[in-house]
Amino acid sequence: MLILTRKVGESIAIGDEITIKVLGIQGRQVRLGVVAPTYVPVHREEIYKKIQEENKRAGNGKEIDFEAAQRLLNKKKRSGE
Amino acid sequence: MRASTMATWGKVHQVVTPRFGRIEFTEEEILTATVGLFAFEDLKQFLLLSFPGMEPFECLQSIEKPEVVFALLDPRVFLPEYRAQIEQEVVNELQIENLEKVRQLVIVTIPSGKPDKMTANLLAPIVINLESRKLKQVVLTAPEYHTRHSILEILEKGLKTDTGG
Repeated sequence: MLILTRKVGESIAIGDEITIKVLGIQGRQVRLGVVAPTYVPVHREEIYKKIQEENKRAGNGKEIDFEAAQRLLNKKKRSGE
Repeated sequence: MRASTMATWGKVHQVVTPRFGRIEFTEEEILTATVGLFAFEDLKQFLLLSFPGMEPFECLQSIEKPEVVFALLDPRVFLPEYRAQIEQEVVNELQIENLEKVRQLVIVTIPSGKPDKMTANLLAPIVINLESRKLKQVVLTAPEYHTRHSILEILEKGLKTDTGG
């Protein structure tokens, strides 16, 4: 891992398209500004991982029981009306 | 089984899927992911399918990897107040000109053998522009949404008391 020390207001350039700037520091929190092209998704890592994990659970379509899910959904919707 | 009734369009392609068998489609029916879905970044081509007896569920079927298929729901089916803010970046990326041609659907996880545990990912909906045929899974910043909301609990008690993961 490359380790760099930066002051507030200074940046790191990754290639010629991505810049990460240290905007501020407050206690244990660091505010970062990221400039990147739209084809490079930028997300908080824990959110990124949660969505990946959920997509993997959801995408195994062979097992999906649409009929049972539909029955349950429609039954619950009717009882709620 | 046909993805739509527009049989007079271009050349007919087909994909054989484990879940639905053989599906025929034309190039005009293909939806292209501008950035692949999370964890499925390599998959770019999809079909949006709905079959009789499955409503209101729809599916996002991968063309490149036929075993990958997602159950989708219009979130307003169980949460009428759901709104996904579409950022300007996404408007540009999906070439959105007419909001009426945009669909926002959420991925539903239906666990095998436990359909009552089905959950919706309200944090990362799929935005589809039916005009440009482009789609993207976006991430919302609204703090009340996460990846595993119990659909039946929301229908029963609303979003506030939903205890999903």
